[in-house]
Amino acid sequence: MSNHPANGLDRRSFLIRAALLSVGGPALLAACGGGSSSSADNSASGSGSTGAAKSGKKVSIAAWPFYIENDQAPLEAATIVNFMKATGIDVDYKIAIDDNVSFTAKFEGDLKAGKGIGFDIAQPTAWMASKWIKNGWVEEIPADLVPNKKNLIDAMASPAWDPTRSKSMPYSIIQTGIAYYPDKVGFEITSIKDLFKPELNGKITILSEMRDAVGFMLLSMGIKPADAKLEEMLRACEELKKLRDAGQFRKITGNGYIEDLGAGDTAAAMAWSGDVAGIQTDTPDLKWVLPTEGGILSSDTLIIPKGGNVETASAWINYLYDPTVSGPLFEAISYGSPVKGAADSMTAAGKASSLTNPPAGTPLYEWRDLTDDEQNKVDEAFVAATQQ
Amino acid sequence: MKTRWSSRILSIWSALVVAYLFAPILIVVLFSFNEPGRLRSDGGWQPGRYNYKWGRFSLKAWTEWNRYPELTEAFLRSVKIALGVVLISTVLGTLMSLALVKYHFKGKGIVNMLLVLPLTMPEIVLGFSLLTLFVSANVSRGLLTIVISHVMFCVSYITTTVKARIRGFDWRLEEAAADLGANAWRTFSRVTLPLIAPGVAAAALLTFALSLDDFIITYLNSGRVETFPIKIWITKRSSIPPQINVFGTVVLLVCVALATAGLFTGRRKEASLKRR
Amino acid sequence: MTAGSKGLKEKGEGLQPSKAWVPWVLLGPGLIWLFVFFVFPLVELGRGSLKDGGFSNYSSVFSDNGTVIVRTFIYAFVATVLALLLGYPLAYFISMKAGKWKTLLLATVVLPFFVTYLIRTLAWKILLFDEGPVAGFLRWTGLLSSDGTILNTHAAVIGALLYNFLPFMVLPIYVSLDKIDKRLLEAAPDLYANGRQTFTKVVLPLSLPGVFAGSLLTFIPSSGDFVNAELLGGDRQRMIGNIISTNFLRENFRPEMSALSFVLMLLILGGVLLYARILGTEELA
Repeated sequence: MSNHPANGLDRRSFLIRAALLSVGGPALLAACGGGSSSSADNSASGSGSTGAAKSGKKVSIAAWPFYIENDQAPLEAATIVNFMKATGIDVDYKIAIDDNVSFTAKFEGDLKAGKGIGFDIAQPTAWMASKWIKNGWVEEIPADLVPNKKNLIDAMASPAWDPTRSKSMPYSIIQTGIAYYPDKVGFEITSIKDLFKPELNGKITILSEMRDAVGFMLLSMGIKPADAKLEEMLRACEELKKLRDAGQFRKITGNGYIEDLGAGDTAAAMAWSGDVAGIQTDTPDLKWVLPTEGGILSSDTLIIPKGGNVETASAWINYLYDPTVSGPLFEAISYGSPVKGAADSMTAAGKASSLTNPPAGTPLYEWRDLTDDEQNKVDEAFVAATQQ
Repeated sequence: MKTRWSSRILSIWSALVVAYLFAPILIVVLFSFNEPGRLRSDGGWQPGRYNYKWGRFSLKAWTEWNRYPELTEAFLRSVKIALGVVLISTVLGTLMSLALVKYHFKGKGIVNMLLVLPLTMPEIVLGFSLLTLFVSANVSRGLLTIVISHVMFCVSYITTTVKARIRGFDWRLEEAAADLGANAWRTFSRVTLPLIAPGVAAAALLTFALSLDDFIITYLNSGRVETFPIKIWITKRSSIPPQINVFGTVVLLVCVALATAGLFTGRRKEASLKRR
Repeated sequence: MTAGSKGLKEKGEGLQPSKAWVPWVLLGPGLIWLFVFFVFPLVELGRGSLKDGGFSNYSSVFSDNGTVIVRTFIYAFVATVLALLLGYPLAYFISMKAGKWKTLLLATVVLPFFVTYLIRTLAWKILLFDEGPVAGFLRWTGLLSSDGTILNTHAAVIGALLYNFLPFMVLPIYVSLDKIDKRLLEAAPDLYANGRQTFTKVVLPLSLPGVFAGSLLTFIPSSGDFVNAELLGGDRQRMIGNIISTNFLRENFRPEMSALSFVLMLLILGGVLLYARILGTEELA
């Protein structure tokens, strides 16, 4: 840095100029930027569809990993190929969701401004879908465009936040349990408490999804997430923090845990059912276990973000609710299907899999709806416990 | 013989450091010939998702380089962005460096400082401050904001690099041209441009690599547009195909080729243009 | 990057422009760009850091992220010191001893830049993962316990930061060493200076500008990085960049994240000035 004699003076005029720009800047920026930003968005979403469809119609899907048969080359996935053939609609399938909070945050500004987000379908988890609906960030799903709606299983037909399922449809049923390598762990894991044994210090990963991590803590404390009081949730966060401070966790991640588990760097992980099946093709000695205290049950939800193409998105939803489509798809991705009769289209192995069809009486627990106040307080405590 | 020993230690030390710099590059190239996966008990090949462990040697990733079209698209998108960035920042930066090298004027120190400042800020600060601006001005993030952010830090690189390369040139040639009746444009295109071209080209290559490579600033300002590094970042959660290494190797080879060519043609030309 | 060309005063040039506005016309477009997209955003960042809570955002930055801030600066500092220890001898070797291998060696130093940053960091993961070659070798030598890991340790993150920014250390030092008039070195023994004295009295002082530039070019990107900590570190290796990159989109976190960025920036600027004082270097580029 030069020691210019006139530095003091120049620095002041520099600040004045900066201040002037802070008045004129936004206008300038709008002039050279704002106007053409939508075309930039278009060019991005216009890519990727090289399918065989010719109608010129398209559905853009924002998905979690491992949510279609072959998500590395989605245009080869059976469900997508058959959908394009059956409807003439192109599919642009992107693995765009890493965790609910960051996915939502990414588009919050656009959604508030009433702009589209470039996706016609998104798959937030139910609790986050309810937030989108409450904020008015979704399009209605016209019942007449989704005749297969009748195939939705009764248990999921009318949640409090969307009683008639007019704005959302479940995509999948997820179990959160434990995945581990027996040889790396050295003993059989049966309970959540096993994960927190000192032998596994620094060798396990947990999920950064609050409902999964805090839910596990609650279950290990003997509390069902559906009955948990705010104080208990906060106490669960404190327990997490204690474990973290003791160095129990190698990592706290969203979907990132898949990579470490797949590479064999994690001995045991809090995991989502379908991911485990996906990783097992690489490392067959990986074991899936639902802890004795129980696992967390959740559901990812199809919604049409505001500004999305309602017609093509509805066609996609309708297609997924055909049991002969849902059966093979969910057998392949090893999650539970919310479609009646889907199991009839699965092979014997698929029907018998506890990942796709958990037998009645499996100890799986759902969260109750949290009030905004509860959500904020637990979120804050969770972030403090797991990030800082 | 003390000096012998110290010089031998120095050689070994240097060799080790070079090996340290070289090892990961070797891995990148080597793993482009990997087919991740394992041998099943029935003797069949079970393909794997992560190109972390050596499966078996294969040319598959090279012959099927376009196996994942989205990866290819992201790569081409990054190349396009980089070309745009090079174009804009080279023009802006070269003009600035000409002003700074050729003329003596008040406020030069401040301008120099302003140019250096972006280089003294971590990318995360640059990226996050730009994001704050875009958010408060309600500009949605996309291709445009990526280009803006890249040009922002590339202008500094271009200016400082070109400045260093064109220092000491004989600018009286320009005057001579003007005296001979050439207009401003002719003087620029016939005299100035050939004079500064090698330096500008080197800076442009550097900028191209910087833009193609940038992750942190882009990550914060890309919205849903996927550049090549961002595509890798997203895709790596569920798989790391060896095609990523193929693209990495190709970039490496192209850069090496360009740099070598530049080294041989640029140096000579430039040397002949320097005063003395 | 251009540490080598500084020091030389721009003599012989610096014409008085025929009209005072000529240089400003040339500077104009670039300056406007820098003001709108560099200066102004920083002002915005500063303003944003004072939103909902004013200066209390800053105190909560320190109370919430104290460990991470300290860790970040320790990582960057250690990486820089190591880069100096590794890089200076290499730069010295290339400039003084390499002979005809000079160009090739320089090319090797620059080579990592030509491999995409993310890809070369992923390559470290291949080398370091639990069942990978480096861990295997270290276990075999007994330096690593049988269930020890390299990934997700401080060493892995610092080592990768060191790797990624080492060329930034080597190049400026090389440039400043290369500029030293070799006749000076020949003269030194004639004046009864031994090898060590030649180095400490002649070479080292003349290469300080390179050391200065190199240290900054290593320290600055290291301190703002999150890729290495994310890919090779674990829960206890998070850096400031990781905090910002996980929360940058969350609206309610934005003021605190702005404050955190500002803190990072100010600490670095402070460090730069202090370092410049110590080394007595006046110019940066």
